Amino acid sequence: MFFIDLKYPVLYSLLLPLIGSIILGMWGRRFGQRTIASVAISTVFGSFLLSLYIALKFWGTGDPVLLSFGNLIEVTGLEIPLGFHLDGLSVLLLTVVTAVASLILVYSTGYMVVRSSSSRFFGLMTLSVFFMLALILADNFITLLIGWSGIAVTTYLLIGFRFYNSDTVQSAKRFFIINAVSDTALLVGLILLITSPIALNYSGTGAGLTYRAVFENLTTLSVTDKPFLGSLVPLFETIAILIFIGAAGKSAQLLQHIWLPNTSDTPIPAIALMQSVTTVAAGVYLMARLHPVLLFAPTAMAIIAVISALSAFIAAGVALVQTDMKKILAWSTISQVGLMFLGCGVGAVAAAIFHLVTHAVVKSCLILSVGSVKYAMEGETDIRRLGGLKSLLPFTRVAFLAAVAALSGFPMLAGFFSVSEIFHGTFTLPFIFGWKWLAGIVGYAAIPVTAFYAYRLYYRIFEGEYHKPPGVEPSEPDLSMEAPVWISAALSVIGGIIAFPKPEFNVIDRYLSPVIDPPMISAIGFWGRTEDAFSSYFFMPITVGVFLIGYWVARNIYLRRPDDPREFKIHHKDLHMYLWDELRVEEILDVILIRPAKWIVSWLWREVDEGLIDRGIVEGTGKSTFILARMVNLLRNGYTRYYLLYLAIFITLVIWLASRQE
Amino acid sequence: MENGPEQDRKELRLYEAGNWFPPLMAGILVVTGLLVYLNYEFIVHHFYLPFISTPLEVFASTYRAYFLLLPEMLDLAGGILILLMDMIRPNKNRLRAPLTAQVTLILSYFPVIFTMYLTTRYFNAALGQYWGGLETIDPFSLFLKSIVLLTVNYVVVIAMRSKELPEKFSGEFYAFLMFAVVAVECVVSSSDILAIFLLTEFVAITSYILVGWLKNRPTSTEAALKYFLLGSMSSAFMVFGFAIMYGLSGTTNLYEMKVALHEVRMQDPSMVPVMLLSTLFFMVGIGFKLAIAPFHMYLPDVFEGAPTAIATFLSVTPKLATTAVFIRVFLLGLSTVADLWVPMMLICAVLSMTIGNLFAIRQTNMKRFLAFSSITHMGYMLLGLCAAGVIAKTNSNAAIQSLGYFGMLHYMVIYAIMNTGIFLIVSVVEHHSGGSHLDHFKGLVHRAPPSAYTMLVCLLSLAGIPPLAGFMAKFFVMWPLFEPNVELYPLAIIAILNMVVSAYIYLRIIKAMFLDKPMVEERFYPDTTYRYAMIPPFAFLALYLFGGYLIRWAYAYASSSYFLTINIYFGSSGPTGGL
Repeated sequence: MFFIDLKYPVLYSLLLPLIGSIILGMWGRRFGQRTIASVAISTVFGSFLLSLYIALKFWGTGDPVLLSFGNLIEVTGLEIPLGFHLDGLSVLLLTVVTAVASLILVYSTGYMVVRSSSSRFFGLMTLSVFFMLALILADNFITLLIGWSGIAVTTYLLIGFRFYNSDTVQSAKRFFIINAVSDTALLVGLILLITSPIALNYSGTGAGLTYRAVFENLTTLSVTDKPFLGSLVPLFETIAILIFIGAAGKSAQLLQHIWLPNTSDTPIPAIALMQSVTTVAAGVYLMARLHPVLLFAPTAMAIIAVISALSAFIAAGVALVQTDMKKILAWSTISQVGLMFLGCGVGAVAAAIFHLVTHAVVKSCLILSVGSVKYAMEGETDIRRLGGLKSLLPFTRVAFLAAVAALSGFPMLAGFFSVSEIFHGTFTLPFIFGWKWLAGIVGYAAIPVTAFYAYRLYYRIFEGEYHKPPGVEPSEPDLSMEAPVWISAALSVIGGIIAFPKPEFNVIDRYLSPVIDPPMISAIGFWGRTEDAFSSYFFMPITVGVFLIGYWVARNIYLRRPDDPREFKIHHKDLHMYLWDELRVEEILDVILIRPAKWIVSWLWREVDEGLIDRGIVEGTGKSTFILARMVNLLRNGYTRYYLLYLAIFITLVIWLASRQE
Repeated sequence: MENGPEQDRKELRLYEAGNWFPPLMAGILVVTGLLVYLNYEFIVHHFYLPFISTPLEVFASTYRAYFLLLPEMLDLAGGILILLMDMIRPNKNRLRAPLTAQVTLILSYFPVIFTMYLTTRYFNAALGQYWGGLETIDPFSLFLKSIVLLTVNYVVVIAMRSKELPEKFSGEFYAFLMFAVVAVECVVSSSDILAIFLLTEFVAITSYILVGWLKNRPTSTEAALKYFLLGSMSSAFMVFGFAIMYGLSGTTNLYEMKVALHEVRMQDPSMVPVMLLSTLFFMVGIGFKLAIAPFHMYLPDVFEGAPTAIATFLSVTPKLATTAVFIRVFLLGLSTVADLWVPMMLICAVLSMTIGNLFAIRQTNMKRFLAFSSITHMGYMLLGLCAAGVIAKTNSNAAIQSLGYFGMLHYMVIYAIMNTGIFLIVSVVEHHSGGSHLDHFKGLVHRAPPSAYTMLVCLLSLAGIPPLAGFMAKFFVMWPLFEPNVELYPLAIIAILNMVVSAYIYLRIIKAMFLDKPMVEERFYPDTTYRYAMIPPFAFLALYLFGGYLIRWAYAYASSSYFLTINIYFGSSGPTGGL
């Protein structure tokens, strides 16, 4: 009864963005700017309204709802189901993604108004949202991969939106190559998972492809057959690491991050979309979705947690010295997503998703207001040439300040709660033993750095002296750009409310506990460990403390002693240059991977492809066929007597052969 | 051609007409697709039967034997009528004769389709053996008859607009054509070697006359003479083979022969070489009719010399009849001695595929090219027969229900439609550019886009490019080779290699049509008749995408076990009704 109500709302909330993008893709060129924008916004916003309805319907129910639409592929021995796995996690993300995407699309109408090919832009944005929703709603590993790859494709197209610029093409290509590598890892991991005994244990074809089948099996086994499950733990370690590599590629975690800061020519709304709700969020969603598997891979969890914490810290460090606004925010995203991965790595999945939600709002506000600044300053993004915009862009300034505060952990704002939750999980959950101290402390060290670079960004843009560039009259943008910034700023201020202290109104708890807790409880039972009894409130003062350090330093330096950074640059030249060069990952990869690969490939091309295959096999076959044809054509000369002769030869031959057989 | 204002206006009108051609085609595609989707039986029941059922049902129940021969009788009457018209007013029949032929052909559709409908509805109503077992009316023969009639419609369309055929006594041409059609229709339902021999000879002799129709063209006469000489030679072989078969089995009925040959073989194994000889001779005779290698040498000469309409006719209609004979004789009469003919059939299939392709590579004359292409396709078609034959080795009854049998039939139907489509365009180009050399096809897309696109679809389909019908045809003829009890993998590999070569030869034509510069830039506009005639092949080949409706229906109908049940229920004697 319940799911009959939801089947079509869910289907339409998924399909609406697709319909929008199809309309824009097919007929968008004929539409005016206004029509294009309204098609995109109405479809995504319609999807948001439907998802609100779904979320309200879902309030108070714990069990996942499986909506089946038959089979996607049906061959003997393999049935790939087509359906939706609707639980708290997917419902929550469905709402957040469509809401933030609607805001960003509204912003784009103002931002992209003078740009050409806006139908392509809006179509791609809508399509990107569609694939994200497909990923969120998938109920099995195959349809999950469809959404996953769709996100890769749309992100590639959005990064390369201005494809006439060779730098843009390079950065799009960089994204695609990195994703191809990490997706391969993910694919191998998922194949291992699908073919593992826990998935195949199920009788019936393909039943093991759905999450539900695999996870229920896992939970059951953790109680009924502990030795068997224990023998599978090494397999789960491998799967978890491979999935982490896959997710880290999409989420731009360290060593696979190089695509994210280099999207200089990508339209700002597209950057906002992929850094807040689609591309980068997809990896975190994947880790959260597959956390029941992760919980049975403690070593992998420890590796993930430590690497992510380091990633968060180092990325925040890189953001310290950059001067391009977009680059700072990109490194900030890498750092924040590192914290989310830390949450997933220690088992605090609900906190990670909470941070994903708050970060989505905060980061979209930051990027969009940076877009407003860039728009007002006619394309200037270098903070060294900005400053003193406080009086010129007052509304943007307030919104930006709110988002900066929320990002860096200002008490009672959105980021504060979610970060505290993550560290609460890190220090209390028992899965990764003593490593939690390392991961937790390194992660906590990222908070003051975050506060520092966030406030630095704010001070360098809005405070200080105003350098008026020639011919620029900065002013507040239109309402269509201002309103989304304000709404997201307001949400970043009050966003913490979704983790309201009273359990009845705690959205995160209501939606995520039924998804996260049962596997967690069974895993704790399996490992025989107990949770430490720290309260969540214990970590909030610590967060406030570390935030205050970063804030205080930034304030002192950038408001009182603006010359200090220059001195830092002179005294710590090597460190500064290393951070300024963004860790030189690309150079390292170039030496150890790209050059040898290029050498091997060019050898293969020259010797094997051109020499052997083209000249030898392909052309040789063609030539020999032609020679054969010329020879055969000699037989046909137009004389009837010859034709009869061939007939006679054939008959004689057949009779001769037949007599030999006797 | 003078370029007065009259001419300009006409061209303008035709140009405008050309503009609505693509939308019209698309519309027809959609409507036909919807009809197919909505349910064939519903349409027949509500739009066809109310108009036709009562009188036909009364006639059918009263004179069953005559009713089943009604299509043949109608066509025969049409032919005689055309002859009479020609006697009365010899010079006025340029259009009347083909129209009469067309009307007769369309009229003769109704009994065929009505009987098909009856047999799908009321399983074995009105079917059986007639005239002492000479003719067997079964779903198989009705199905082929409907395709034969369709192709002859096209032949008439092509002949009607042809500049080649002389104005005077043009009725005679269509009369002969109609008589040939009558014979073909009878061949597809023959189940007796006597009938088969007489009727295939009937078809052959009419074809000799039609090939040599252009008395002023030396190649035509030469082609007719060659065709006649080689054809009579092969007929001699065939009748010799039949004589031995009769001598061995003591019967001319194929249903009886099947049992008799088996008994003879069991009783006297020393008869096996004689059986082999009879099979071989029959194969030579009938292989010549189907033009499979190595009996194919006459075909390119004949296609080149004959009028285009007759080349179309020869490439399709008698081949459908001959396929029926192949199926009836090999899978029914000789199915108990399948081990004797399967090796020969394998050799012929391989030779046909390979030699046809190798000859076609260097052809620049479209008609000769199509001749070699048809040789290749007959080779592919034989793959199905080989597979069915391998099954017949172990179970002679299963051959007729096997996938190989179905694949063969399916292949022939699609081949027939593709080939008529191509010949239609060849005749259009010949009509407007004055020849059928490859050079005349260069840049066709700039000169007559709808024709070029129709040709493109047909050629790609012949090459077996996936979404089109030709791919499905090749798929279903290849599939039986991989069946667990057949396993003719080497044959499949040879066939696939040949498909690669044939892709080249068809793409060569497509390249000429789409990439090369035309010799003359001037656009031309095919006649309305041609334009309408282009729609069905195009529609069919594209519509084939719609859920394989034809596959399901043809499989259910043509290979319905009724072909077999006659054998089981009526034994060797068979029911004799009517006359």
